[in-house]
Amino acid sequence: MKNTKSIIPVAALAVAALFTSCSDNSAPVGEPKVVEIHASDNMKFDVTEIQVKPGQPVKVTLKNIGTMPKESMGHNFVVLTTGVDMTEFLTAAATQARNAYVPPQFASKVLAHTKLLGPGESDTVTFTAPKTPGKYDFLCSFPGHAPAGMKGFLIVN
Amino acid sequence: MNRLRLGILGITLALGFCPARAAESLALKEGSQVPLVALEDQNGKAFRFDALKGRAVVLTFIFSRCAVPTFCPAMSANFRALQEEIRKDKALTGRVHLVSISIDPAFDTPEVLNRYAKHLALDTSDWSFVTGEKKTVAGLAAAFSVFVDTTAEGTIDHTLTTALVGPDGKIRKLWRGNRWTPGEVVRELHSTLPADKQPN
Repeated sequence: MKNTKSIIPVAALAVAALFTSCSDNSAPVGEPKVVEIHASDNMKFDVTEIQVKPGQPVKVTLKNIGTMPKESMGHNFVVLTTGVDMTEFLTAAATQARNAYVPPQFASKVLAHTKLLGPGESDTVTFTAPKTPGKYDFLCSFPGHAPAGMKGFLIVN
Repeated sequence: MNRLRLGILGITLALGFCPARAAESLALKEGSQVPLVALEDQNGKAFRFDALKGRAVVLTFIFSRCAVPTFCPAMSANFRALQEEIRKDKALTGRVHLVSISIDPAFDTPEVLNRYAKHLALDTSDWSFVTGEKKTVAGLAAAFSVFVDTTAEGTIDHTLTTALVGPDGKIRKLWRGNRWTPGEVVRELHSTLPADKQPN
């Protein structure tokens, strides 16, 4: 009995520690937000706004439903942190065909991205929404696509 | 793309001329001989306009990654419609060759153009997609008064010119901008290639 009495508080502490750990700000919060986005030859995403909670897991599947070749009309989904100069990012991206138009020098500014997709291809990326509420740009970084309107916002609220 | 550049481009297109044209003393006109420069087709084979002598040529300038629907994608869609029209027209079939010249030779290699061609053309027996040395392509574009400029975003600002070259290699008609239609080109082809001079 003596042993049992000493075990109970220890177990309670362990459970409490577990819950404390689960409520830590760095851990994903809640059910994942699942989003499917279609990209086409007309250079549009069919989803231009994604609403998430701070720290919520996000699972985005991008499908290229176009027919043009990947070299001429590839599409990706790139989410940026706040405070990125879009022109600077796109200028850097345009010269990075070998890196699927995701410039390595902006790696710390990219929250998540899919592969560059050709016709009929799809890719899924999973990431954790930022903890800071705000509007985060997402876009296709293939040259000319974002200026043509292939972009949207991840809204953390 | 800054507003000023877009504005200049818009005015250029609307008026159908290139700002550099006045200063370009070598600009080709209707009646000029098409330049016989060395280019390369979508199969990596040497391409020169004189190899097409005896046939009418309709040429235009594009680049495969162009993201402005009313520019290169529209020109390529028009060429596809033109290819279909020509093949339906017994007076023109086998007498016309289409040529799409890339103004982005660094990216538009023969391999890239080959895949672009497979997507666009019925086949490439009467439609070539050509590229070449950067200097050669730039010179050819300038000769046809096609203004080409790399933007701050790394894409290409450009104007449009489409030309009809007769079987003798002389330019018969120049269309500036994107307002021409395949039907208009077919009419010009009929006057360039009279049925009574059809080869047997």
